[in-house]
This record gives sequence, structure tokens and C-alpha cells, in this order.
Amino acid sequence: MNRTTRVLTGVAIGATLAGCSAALKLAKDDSPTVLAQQSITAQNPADSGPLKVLRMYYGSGTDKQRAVFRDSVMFKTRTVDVSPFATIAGPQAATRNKYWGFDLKKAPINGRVWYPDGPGPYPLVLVVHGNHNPQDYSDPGYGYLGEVLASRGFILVSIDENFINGLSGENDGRAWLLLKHLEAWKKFNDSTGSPLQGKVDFNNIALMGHSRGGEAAPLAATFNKLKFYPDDAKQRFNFNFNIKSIVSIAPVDGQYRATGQFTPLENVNYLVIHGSHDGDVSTFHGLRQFERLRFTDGKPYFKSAFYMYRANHGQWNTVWENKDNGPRSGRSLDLRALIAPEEQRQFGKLVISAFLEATLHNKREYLPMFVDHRTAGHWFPKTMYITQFQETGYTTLANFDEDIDLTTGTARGVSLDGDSLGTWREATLPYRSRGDDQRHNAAWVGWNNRVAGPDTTKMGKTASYSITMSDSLRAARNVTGASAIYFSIAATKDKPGPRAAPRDTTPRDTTKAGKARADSVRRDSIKKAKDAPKPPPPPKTPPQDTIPIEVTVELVDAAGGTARLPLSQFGTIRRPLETRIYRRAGRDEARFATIFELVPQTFVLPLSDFSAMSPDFAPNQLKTIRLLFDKTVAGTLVVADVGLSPTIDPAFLAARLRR
Amino acid sequence: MLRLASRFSYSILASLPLLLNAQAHESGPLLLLLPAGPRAAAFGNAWVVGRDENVVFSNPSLINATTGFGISYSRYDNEGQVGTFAYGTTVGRFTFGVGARTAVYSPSVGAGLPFEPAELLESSDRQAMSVLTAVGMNMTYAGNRVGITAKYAEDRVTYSGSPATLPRQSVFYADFGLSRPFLNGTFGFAIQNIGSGRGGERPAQTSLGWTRARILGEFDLVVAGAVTIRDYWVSPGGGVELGYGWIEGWSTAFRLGARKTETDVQKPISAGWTLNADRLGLDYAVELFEGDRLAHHLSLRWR
Repeated sequence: MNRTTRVLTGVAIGATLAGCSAALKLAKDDSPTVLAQQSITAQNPADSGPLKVLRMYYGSGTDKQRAVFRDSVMFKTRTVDVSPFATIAGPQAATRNKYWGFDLKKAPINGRVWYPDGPGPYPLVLVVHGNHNPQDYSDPGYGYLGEVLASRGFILVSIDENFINGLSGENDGRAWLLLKHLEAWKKFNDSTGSPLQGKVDFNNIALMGHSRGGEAAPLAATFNKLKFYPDDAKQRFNFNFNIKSIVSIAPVDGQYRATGQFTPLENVNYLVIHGSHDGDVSTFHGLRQFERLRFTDGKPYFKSAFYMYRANHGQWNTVWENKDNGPRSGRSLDLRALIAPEEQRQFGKLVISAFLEATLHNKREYLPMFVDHRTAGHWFPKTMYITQFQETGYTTLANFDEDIDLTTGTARGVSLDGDSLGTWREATLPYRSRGDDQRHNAAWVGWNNRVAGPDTTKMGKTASYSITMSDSLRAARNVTGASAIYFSIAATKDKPGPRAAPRDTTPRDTTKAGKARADSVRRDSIKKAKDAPKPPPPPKTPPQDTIPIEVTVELVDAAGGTARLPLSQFGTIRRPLETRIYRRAGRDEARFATIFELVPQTFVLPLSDFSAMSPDFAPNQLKTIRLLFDKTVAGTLVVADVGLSPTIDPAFLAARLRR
Repeated sequence: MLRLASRFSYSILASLPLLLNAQAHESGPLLLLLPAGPRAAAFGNAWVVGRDENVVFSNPSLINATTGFGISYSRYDNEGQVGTFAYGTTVGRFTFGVGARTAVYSPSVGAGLPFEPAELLESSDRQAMSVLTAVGMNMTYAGNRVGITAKYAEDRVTYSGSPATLPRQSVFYADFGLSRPFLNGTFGFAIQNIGSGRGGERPAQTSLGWTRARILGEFDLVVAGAVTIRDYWVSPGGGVELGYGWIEGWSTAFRLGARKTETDVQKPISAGWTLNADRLGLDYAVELFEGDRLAHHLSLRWR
């Protein structure tokens, strides 16, 4: 083998090996525009507050592996029997028991605490990690949240559930342990002479969980109100804590199903955050929790979902970091795509702190960033976000779950209509993971205003999609000028083809001369078509349209008064955010049904904006909400929810962005 | 069962000094004595704890639980050639394996059946062929993986210049194997070549070994060791593998092995290399022989 051959062979081998790795592909970042403004004037909730932060531990005092839960506990806690909710099979039990020094019948109540130096009482926030290597302890990973939250007047407890990591079907056990920690805290707070006596505000409790813990936290809120463990009435529950808020960080959903059902959830404030580049829980399962949550007791709650582009699963925990796929994640996951861990955690601090401030400290000035995150554009790390929002009082007009009739809405008295649409169908919203879905339907509405034919500028009638309310429904929903319309919409990549040209309805000339003229015209047109140069063939993969879709929202009142505003005034209708998690070329396409997650964006449209723009329009007589597809020639939207809120929060009205 | 195997292995190890013979006795068809493919060769033939389809020839309890096949080609110093095919698949509770090996070579004029491995390096006017086929299966029983293999082996001289001197030897054998997790690794035990030999040779042998794979930072380390006892001849062997993967599905590994060989013509040291590209695996190993002669083993595996 001569030198040239050797070099060529080396190059060929190198190219083959390098060819397995995909080039970094990210969706075009629009954050310089979307996050350019800041209308909330309150203090940045991610910044430390005025209070001095103290730290302490509580636990068994006998922990074999961790000195802090053995030698540094301020409170000794009794062990609990978690074995009815979590089991270890076979030889694994002996190995684990040997390592930990206890079995699941004697599970410790260990926690690390960040709390403010002050008299209190302070809201209590429990955070629980998810599944991870049991020996790579996960509970210290939320210290960054502890520091900021404690300085702002919260007690944050990161609880230890490392000893049930590595099991399966144990999320009910994780939830039950959270409630057992609350019982321990009740004792800390009530014990005379306790350093924490009276410091805990038991009217304001939040549970927070990450990954499997993100399923455990809402599950604990559900268990909290039950008298029995759903799978076995021998386990009695008697918790009844005042859990006001839930935060789910990149949660799983449905790993535990009480009596075979997805866990119902009601009457709590709820925040879910998820990263597009999550290499562990690669689908936004929290949207199902978001969808299931109901506000039924009339108290003021809200729920919010944030989908953060380029965020992963682990960087919200400083122990987990970028190891979503284990210690060698770099071999399988494209870590280059990830946002810097500090920025991901900055986002975590921002939204979690703001959410807890709004729901436990009742600081409503932070609410607008959940309604429209652009109101806090300067606070958010520079990447792209898709958000969803609903609050008490919101009522659905159409969420497409009720029947198979395309023309009926969810609320009685709502009718749906499409005009000149290329696509109009309803289906279940899929997740990108094959075979998985959001357990929620939506309407696919596609249009192409272009008329088929050689003239590419010829447009037909503007396509539209309308939601019309009956008079009785409008009256029942108490629609006024202070109300707001909610849309949850996602753009897809689909484009219907140009619509067919309208049929020629001109009366034919049936005389002999007329027929001869028609024949002559037909012959000429055939000849012209033959002589005309052939157009170039269309490209096999047409260039992707990256310009955001623009839609006009037209509101019509009962008297025919109309008002129109562009939907972009209330948010961005992005094209799907392409997400490639894996390093190997083609791996994402092989694993996922699509290379994007279909996450609808919630748009909140105050009716007062429309009446201000068009005095002829009477909001209290709102009859029809129409999406007019008059700006973007062709596209498809997925309409997941359309609803009304009778009164929009004044804090949002004050902070909302104006153009 | 494990306790029994442990006692057996302790007794064997304790009596090693008494049992050691310098060279193996005559021991049946040639292909029973050769490492089953490049991985086995590079691991000092410690393949009673092997990890590929070819383990059907050495320990049926470890036939791969993953569907796949491998083909191997070995060349002994430009003379003898050996081809191997093995396939494993799982159906329900059972894992099945089939394997076939064939060798063509020119044994020295004076050599008689059964041939020693060194005959593969010889060159003469004689032509010989050996065949080995194996069908095995395994299942989990009481926490152990147990398996059996039925084998047919044949050696025959196909050309010797005279039709009167075309000897042939064919035999049926059975293997029994057992394996289970042990000390964070895998323990393997096999009794092989159970059956009647021809011409007085005693091919039955017992092997026991242990292997463990662990992560060393960015590298994967595999160690394997085994002892084979055949008719008062004891052959310890073992190997180490250091692997590295730079992207999911692609990895490479280097191996080094040593063993006490059948004859002095074979050198104890062997080495190997592998490249895994998703489902495809390419393995190479080299064995050393007296007089700077080499045996090259190459295999392609598909899982």
C-alpha cells in the first residue's frame, strides 16, 4: 500500500465515521424580536430577595451513606413504611438494602432545607427529584432554587427519595412520601420550643417535582384529598393539607394510573415547564396534566405551561446536568444543541419564583408573564418559548373533544364553520413520540388562497374559520368589554394545494358559428400549450417556509359590527420548532413521528383591544369569532382550544404589550 | 447448583498442581480444539463465558439472547482455512443457537487422526477436511441460565495420493452449560464433548470461568478468565478488552489474551480488535505460532 492509498484509505474511514454524526440543526431564533420588550416593572423574581438564607437538614440521623442526614440533622424524623406503594423485586432488594442500610419498610424522611432568617410564617415549598442513579444523590441539585426562594420568603425543602430511584411503578410512593414530609413539617412547626415553631404558613403550600417527581407532585395533591389509597383501601389517608400550587418540571405522566386512570387534578395552581431537547422524557407529557386540571370551586387559580427551546431534562438539577441519557449522554445526545445550564436554571428560577410569588405571596404583578411571556422579555434567557395559560373563569367554547361533528363546539350553542378551506378535520393532538398523544383533540384548519393554474398570483376568496355563539350562550357567559378570547393554536408544516379554479358558468353559444369559434379557441390554446417552454420541475424537497404565519382575527357582533386585529399582536404563530436531540444522523427521524412537538400557543385577546380599534364593534354583543387567513397565502393551523374569560386580570391589562 | 459448581471449581483449583500436564492428550476432532472465532481467540479461548453467537460451541447457556448471526474466516499461515457460521435467536422462554464450522488443510504426511491444531499450519500433498455442527438451546431455571448442545464432528482426509489411506472419524457429542450472575459479573460452567470418542482419545472437558464488564470513565473494560480441564491437562486462559465508543452505535475495542495452549507449537499470546457499527460488528484476532507463523481470524457479525 503506497502513501497515497494509505492517505485515501484514512480519509475514507474518517469520512465514514464522521458521517454518522449529524450537523447541528436549530430552528431560527426569533428571541431578539419576541423578547425585545419588558412591560412588567416589578423586581425580577429570579433575583435574590432581601432575606438572609439559612440552611438545615432533617432526617433519620442514622444514614449510612450521607453524612448530612446522619451527623447534621436539626430534627430527627421517624422512618415510614413505603412498601405498600413501592416494591423492589428479587435480588435487587438485598443489594439495595445492603447499600442503604434499610429496606422500604423503614424509609427515612430526609430533607435539606433553605429557609429565610425571619419570624415567618413563610409558605412551604417541597421539591422532589425524579429517577436517577440512586448513588448519585439528586436532592442537592435544587440548591439554586433554594437560595433564591428562601431569600424571597419561602421555605424550600428538597426531599430525599434517592432510595426508591431505580425502581419502577413507584410514583405513588414518591407522592405519598411528599405528604409524609408535610406531616413531619407539621410537627416541626407545632412543637413548642422548635426552632421552626410557627414559621411555616400551612395555608400556602406548594409541591414541586422533577421528572417522575413531576408526576408525584400533582399526584400528592390528589392523594391529599382522598381517604384511601386508590389501589388498596387498607392504606388510609388523612392528610388534608392546604396545597395551593404545583410545579411540574419535565414530568412524566401516566406511569402511575390509579384504578387504571390518568390521575385527575383539580383546584390548585399549576406550572409545568419542559425542554424541547429533553433526552429523557422526550415528549411534553405535562400538557396532559395541564389539560386534566380543572378549577371547580370558584377560587382564583391559574395554570401555565412553558415549552423552552434548547432546554434538556437534567439541567434544572445541578447534579443531573446534561446526562439525560446516563453518564455517556454525549455519545447519543447532541449536547451542542443545549442552552447553557446557567441559562436554563435562570429560566427555572424566573418562572418558578414568579409562579410561587403570584400564587403563594399573591403578587399578581407577576401574572402577566404567564399570560404573555413577552411582557417579561428582558428577564427570559434568549431562546424561544411556547406557552399555555388558563385561569379560573375560563370557559371553553370549542376544544373539539365533545363529538365527531365538525360544525359543533363544546359549549351548547357554539357552531363552527369553515369557508374555502383546503383542510378541515378534527383529530387527537399527537406527541412526537410514536403512538403517544396528548389525550386532547384539535381542529386542523388548512387553506390555500391561490387558485390553481399558470397564473400564480391569482387568488380566490379569503379562507376563514368561524366560531359562532348563540345569544343565550353569550348572555350566560357574561361577555363584556372586560372579557378576553383565548385561542390555543399551533402552526404545522402542512400546506394544502391550490384550490380548483371556479367552474365556467357562462352560457354556451350553441350556434354553428359559435361552435366553430370555440373549436378555434381550443385549437389555439392546445397549440400554445405545446409551443410553450416547459416549466422547470418542482424541487424534490421544497424550501421550508420559516416566516411566521399571519392571521387576522375578526370579531362580529350581533348587529354586524366588526373589528379586526392581527393575531400576531397577541403572540407569535411560529412554524414548528424543529428539534433534533440525537447525534446520529437520522436517529430523530427514526425514533419520532415528527421532529417537532406540536405545542399550541395560547393567545389571550382582550375584547377591549377590538372595541378600541373599531367603535362600531360592541363586545357585549359578540357573536362570531373568525380567523381570516388573509395574510399568509397557504398554511395549516391546529386549533386546540377556543374559549372565553369573562374578566381579564387587571394586572395583565396594565402590563400587556401595545403596538 | 451454584454451590455445587463453586465446590467443584475450588476442588479443581486446589488440585491443579497434581493435574498439570504439559501437553494435552489426543482429544478428538480438530475443530473441538480451536477457538470459536476471533473474539474467543483474542480472549485466550476463555469462551465458556463468551458473549457472541459462537458461544454455541463452548457454553450453550450463554447463547446470545439477541437475534443475530456471525460468519468467521480463519487462515493459518497461508495454509489451513476455517470457516464458521453461528446464529442465535430467542423464541419465548428459550434461546436457540446453531453453528457450523469447517476446516480445509493439508496435514503433514505422518500425522494421523485425531489431528492437532498445529496441522493447520502444515503443507503437504494430503488434503483434509473437518466439520463441526452444533445445535443448542438454553433457558432460565431457578435463577440460572442452563443450556445443552448437540454436536456432530468429523475429520477426514480427502486426498492422500492413495485411495487406501483416506481415514475418517466422526462422532456425536453433547455439551451442558450453566451460567449466572456472580460477583457483579457472569459465571460460566460447561461440560463439553460428553460421549464416546473413537480410537481411545478422551475429548470430554470441563470449563469454568468468570467475566465482568465495567465502565472506566469513557472506556469499557471487560475481563474474562477460565480454566479448562481435559484428561489431567489443565489450561488456564483469559483476556482483557478495552473498548471505546465515540457515538451511539459505534465503538471499537482492543483485546489481549493468553492461555496455556494444546501444544508447544502454539504460542500463548493472542490479540484482537473489533469495530461495531450499529448492528454490524467486525472482529479480528491474531494467534501466534512457533516459527513466527500466524493465524488470522476475521468475522462479521450482524445483530
